[in-house]
Amino acid sequence: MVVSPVTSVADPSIAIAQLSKEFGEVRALADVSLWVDPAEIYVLLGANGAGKSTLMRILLGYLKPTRGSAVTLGGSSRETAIRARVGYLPGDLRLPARATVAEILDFRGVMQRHADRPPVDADELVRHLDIPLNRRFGTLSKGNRQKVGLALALMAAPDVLVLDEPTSGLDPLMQESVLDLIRERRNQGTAVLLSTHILSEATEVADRVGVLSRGRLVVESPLSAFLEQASQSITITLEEDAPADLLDGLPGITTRSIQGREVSLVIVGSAAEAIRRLSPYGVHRIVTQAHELDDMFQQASERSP
Amino acid sequence: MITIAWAYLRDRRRSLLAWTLGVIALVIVMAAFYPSIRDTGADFDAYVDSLPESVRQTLGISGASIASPEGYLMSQLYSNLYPLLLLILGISMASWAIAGAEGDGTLEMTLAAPLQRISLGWGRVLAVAVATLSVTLASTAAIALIASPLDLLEGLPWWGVWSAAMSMWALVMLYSSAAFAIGAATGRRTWAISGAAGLVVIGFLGQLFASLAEPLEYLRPTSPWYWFLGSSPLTSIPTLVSFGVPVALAISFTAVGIWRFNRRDLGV
Repeated sequence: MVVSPVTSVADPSIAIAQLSKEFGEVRALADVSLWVDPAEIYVLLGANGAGKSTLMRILLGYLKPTRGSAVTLGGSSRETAIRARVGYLPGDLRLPARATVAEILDFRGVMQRHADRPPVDADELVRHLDIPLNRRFGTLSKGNRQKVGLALALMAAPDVLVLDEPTSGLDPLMQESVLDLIRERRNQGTAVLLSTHILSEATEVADRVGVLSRGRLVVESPLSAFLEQASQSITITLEEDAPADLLDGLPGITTRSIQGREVSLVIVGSAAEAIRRLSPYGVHRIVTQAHELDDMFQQASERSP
Repeated sequence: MITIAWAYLRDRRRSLLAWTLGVIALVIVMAAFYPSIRDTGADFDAYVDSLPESVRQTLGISGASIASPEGYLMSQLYSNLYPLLLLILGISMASWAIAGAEGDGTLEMTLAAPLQRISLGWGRVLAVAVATLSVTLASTAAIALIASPLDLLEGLPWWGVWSAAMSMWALVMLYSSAAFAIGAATGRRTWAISGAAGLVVIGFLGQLFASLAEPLEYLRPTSPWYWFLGSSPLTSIPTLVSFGVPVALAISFTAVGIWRFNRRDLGV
């Protein structure tokens, strides 16, 4: 396991300690501990069924942990006063199909006011997200539904945001806009716990990354350290033939092939030294490809105890 | 709680309007048939007189000619399709309140708002009570309006249909709260509907069979249907048995359902 060099502030917004959840014989989460500080985006990466949604549902109070604890803003998010400061977007968003968007937002606004946490200006959110207010929720496209869910999550000007795959179903422009909103909330002090299986999304917003695999948190580290652990495939075309043993002894290389002017590598961490050694032979073209997340999950799982 | 109830009703406003119009249409059609029954009353009375007293009681026409307003209303409306339609409405709404919402996934976002599960439960049961009461009162108003030209309330106190409406609503809420409680406790709407429907059938058939089989006669007073039909609801004000007990039981069932709902994992 990669141990994060980052330590929490004294009062994290989310504190999960030795959390386990079992559904009968099925173990969904095993001894997971993590925290999210104010003004921090923690991205939880994991394949489907890794336990991301279960962890979030425990945090929101929908499920009871079998062991351990999940604390939000110093208490349980089932308390109304705390829930009023938490924004949540589930992975599979369902809202009453026959209600209009305006009615859905209005209900949330009223509940926020009842909890003495008035909502932010919904009009501004609606404009930003380009949400059709008068349409029935059931008639909206998946992308527009996701926007409504985001608006609900952001309406409370939350101190904690829990987002389960928030850009799912959105077009690239809207994805970028949503990630901007999330960064904006982070900059205003909100702690964000975001799950995704899209690595590029994690790299765009994460301050720290955790990888869940089969219910275990197998990696937790700052984003930069996480990316250094990620392998990448590199194909380099040279102008002259290079000797086959040129890259022998180079740290981080897991696979290599040098066939005349074509060099193929799989390397963990920096490729700078490999390129420096190859440069005397004239580097004509470099094609890199980040490894798929599944491969990274597998690597992380293999590294875990 | 009122906000929650209002939102639940607002989301169903179209279907509630359709239910209201449907039930009103039923009572108007049934009332419109009354003159033809009244005019051939002797034949009907001869047939009814041939039935055992217990069956006549079950049909709500004991001691009253079917050609009379009371006998006609009790046999053709209050022990017939009228309460059945209201029961379908009430059980349907009550079973959806928690279990249906949990099954279709909308409960997750509802509870993402700052509200307690307890408030959600009571708020939605309040909505069921308001919806069923509204449809009951609207259809009763339709009976009261159409009754005069048809002489349908002749010999009955003016408040008779309103009294019967309140006792019938109490019966509807009793079974609806059972559906709510089963759904809230288990999260399964199918169980909620089938459980409450089973209780309706057992209650109705139980009192019918108990009236036909003398050794079982003592069981009749245990049926909520008997509390309603056996209380002469058109000629007496709602009693403790016809109104108070069903309402108290409905509140108890709801409380038990919410207690369990507040403690269990949600299937979201």
